[in-house]
Amino acid sequence: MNQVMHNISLSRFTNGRANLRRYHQARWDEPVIFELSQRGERGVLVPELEQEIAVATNQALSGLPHGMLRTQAPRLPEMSQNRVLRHYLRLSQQTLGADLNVDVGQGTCTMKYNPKINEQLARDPRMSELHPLQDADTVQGMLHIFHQVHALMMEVSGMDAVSLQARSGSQAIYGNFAVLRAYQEASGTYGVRDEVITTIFSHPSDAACARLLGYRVITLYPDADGYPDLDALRTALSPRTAALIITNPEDTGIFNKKIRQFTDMVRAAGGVNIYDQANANGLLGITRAREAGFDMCHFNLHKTFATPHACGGPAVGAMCVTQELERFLPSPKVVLREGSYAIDDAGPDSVGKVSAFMGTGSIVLRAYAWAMNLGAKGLREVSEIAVLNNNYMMHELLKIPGLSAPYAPGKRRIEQVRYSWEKLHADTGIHSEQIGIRAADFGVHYWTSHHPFLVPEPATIEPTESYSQADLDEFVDVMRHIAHEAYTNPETIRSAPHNCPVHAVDASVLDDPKRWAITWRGYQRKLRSQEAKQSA
Amino acid sequence: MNLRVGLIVNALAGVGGPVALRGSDGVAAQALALGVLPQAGARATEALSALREFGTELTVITGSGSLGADAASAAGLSCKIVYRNPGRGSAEDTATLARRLMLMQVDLLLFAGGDGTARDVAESVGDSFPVLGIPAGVKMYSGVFATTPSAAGTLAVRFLRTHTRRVRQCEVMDLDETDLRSGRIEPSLFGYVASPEDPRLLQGRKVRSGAGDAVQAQAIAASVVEAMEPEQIYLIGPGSTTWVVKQALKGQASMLSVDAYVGGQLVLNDATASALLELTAGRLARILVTCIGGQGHIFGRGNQQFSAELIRRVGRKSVSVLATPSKLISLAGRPFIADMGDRASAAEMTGYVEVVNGYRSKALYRCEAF
Repeated sequence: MNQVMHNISLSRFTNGRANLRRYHQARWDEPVIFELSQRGERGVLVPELEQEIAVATNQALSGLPHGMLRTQAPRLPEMSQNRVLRHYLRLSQQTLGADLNVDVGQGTCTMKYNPKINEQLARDPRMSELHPLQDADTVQGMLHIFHQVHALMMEVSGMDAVSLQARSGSQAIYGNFAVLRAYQEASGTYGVRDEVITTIFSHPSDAACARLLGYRVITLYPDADGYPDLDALRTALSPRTAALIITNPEDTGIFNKKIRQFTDMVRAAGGVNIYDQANANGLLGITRAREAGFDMCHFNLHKTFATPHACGGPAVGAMCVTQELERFLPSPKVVLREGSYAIDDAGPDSVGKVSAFMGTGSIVLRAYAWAMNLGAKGLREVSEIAVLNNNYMMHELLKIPGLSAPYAPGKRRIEQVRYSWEKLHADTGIHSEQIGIRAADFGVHYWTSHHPFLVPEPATIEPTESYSQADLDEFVDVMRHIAHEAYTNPETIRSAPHNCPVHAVDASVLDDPKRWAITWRGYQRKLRSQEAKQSA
Repeated sequence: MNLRVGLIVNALAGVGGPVALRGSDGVAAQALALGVLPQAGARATEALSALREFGTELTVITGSGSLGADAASAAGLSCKIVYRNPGRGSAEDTATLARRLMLMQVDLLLFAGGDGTARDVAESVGDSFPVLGIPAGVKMYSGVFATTPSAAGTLAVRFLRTHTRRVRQCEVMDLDETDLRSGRIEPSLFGYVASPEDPRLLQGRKVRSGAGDAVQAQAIAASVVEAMEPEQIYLIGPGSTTWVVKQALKGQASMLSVDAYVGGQLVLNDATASALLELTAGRLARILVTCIGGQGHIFGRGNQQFSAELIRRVGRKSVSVLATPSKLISLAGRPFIADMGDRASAAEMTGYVEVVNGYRSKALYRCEAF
């Protein structure tokens, strides 16, 4: 055992309680796949074309415009199947994936278990072999599921109409702003009412999407209790107000009990209320967007409804709106007509497509399976357990010296907490990000928070309903151990990670367009030009 | 990698503090006679010890003895002496050494001292050169200081390690110590230096900020300029963020002055309080200021040309504070401060003030006035 793990017990349990893991990640020094390519090596040997087929298909490309034809074959890596498999398995062993670790440290993302049976359903040929251009008569089952999920979202939100076309949370936010703009254009207020009000603790996509659709953004800061400042809202409202977009609870996990006052004030000022329900996991069956006075909202199925996050998607952001806004929803839409389902153009007022075809059907299917398996009572229980887990964890974590939960002291939180290591940092010089790097030595993932860091040295932890008390205790034990190290042996943390193959990554290059490369070809080009410069 | 770090220690910085002399300018002998032991060297050593990880790759370039060589040796770093002076530190020593280090093009200039030392450094090297302050003085109103000596060390290591060495403009503030001793507190803005930007301040792992403070200031300026009304007078205060706006308009203004613009043209350069009152009589005017990072002053610090009478006349709704999100966050939730010295104008400024914090992006932020 190396020096930095010497005080971790060799036995897995002491008096029935788990000790910290003596985790060690694999180190494969695995190169980029392009560097593994061997000229002429093949994964599949395609048989010679039979004469008859060759004749029948030799004109296959003649319909394509000449300029679009490749002049040379794509330079894909040339590799055998087993080498490809080994490559990706090795890479997977150098990560802390969602199925591998207690993933509660990725707060705000609602990391919950994605049942494997739902993966089986999604990979069933009856799902995976569907084509988006199939005739509606041949996909009645899938359309039924879309229709059912519409009904489900309407029930959970209290809204009157739903679109499942957006393929991510941010795309749904964009979609809701597109609906706002279409509504304003129809009512002659677009360009007149051009200000969108949001809060600093709402998701960064809220302000970004508003700006993308031409709105000016006004950001409100929290009051002393951590709530969005009602007086500031009063000041911000004017005849230029187009909408309020807000999260509740915000990423602090504090539920804004005055939310109805917010929405009433915005409505009285002539604005539209939009609810970003990214943080809905503690609210299912307990509160609804409708009763809180909102006109629109969206749910992230990849968060609240237990579908995979994948690697940045594909996912689904379910847009939900009131009857007044229904005609502006994206097109096409699923309708039930005389006992059978049809795919209809949504009409002249629709914002059109925010994504291709119907959206991500396989994600809609997974969410449907998950929700139907739980039922209405089960959904509420999900939220109750998520809130219980979070408050249990907060209670345990706040015993750790150096950690605090800013705002609303003594109050419980909903589904997550934004913590602060400010005191620990002042006492020891250790930053939140360094705690995250050290946490990887014990096999758990930990993320600081979105920028900007309004809460100093932040950490956002969201346990969800998926983790057991033992899982939560394990994460708390890791945090307690690292905090203890910070006070007694901070060098161990500064030099972390010790048991992971990737050490300090210089992220500054990602802010430098001269140095970053997002494709292999781009990397090659920059490398060559740098070499040329050096030799010159 | 061959790194060269410049070092200036104002050995007498801070000695006035423990004996309530509110600074050390001109009273160091008095403080030393009272038995105060200078701490600046030890604080510099604490910061420098973080640089040991560069080993032989790093050389400290400094002055002899207490001017820096002692502190560098105590931290176990090899150093090269470019200035010898047997005396104990003085403002001339700081200035001379700073100029020599600038000519040598060191990668980073570290200095240990207080606001007075920061002023001496700023006057010698200007704002074109990365400078970081190790806090060792009595007063440290300037934004160039790290929060603690070890934080200065950590930030220096990060800055030297990263390939994109980003800097931000930091205020150099100082109080007049003679006034201060007689009970008046009036810190003034003396200039700006470029200081390493902490790359972790803005970056979360989930969402990366593509834009540093400099880019954000450009966005703020673009937003302000496009929204300018042709007939209105714009009174633009001193500061690095407002300077970006002045540069986008026509005319020769300065970073440290209050300047007036109409229709994108400079109409009054380095205006006094009375000139501003005369110019705005009976006309629509808007005031653009920035806030002092970490402290939040928007009026009464380095921009006293904005008189109480002018602010009463223009009104809070016609004041825009230009501040990047990271500058707002550096206030840690504390409100803006308008130090007006006049009850009626203080009442006018109490409430929410518009902050331009990005392109077509605003925040509302509370202001307290007294």
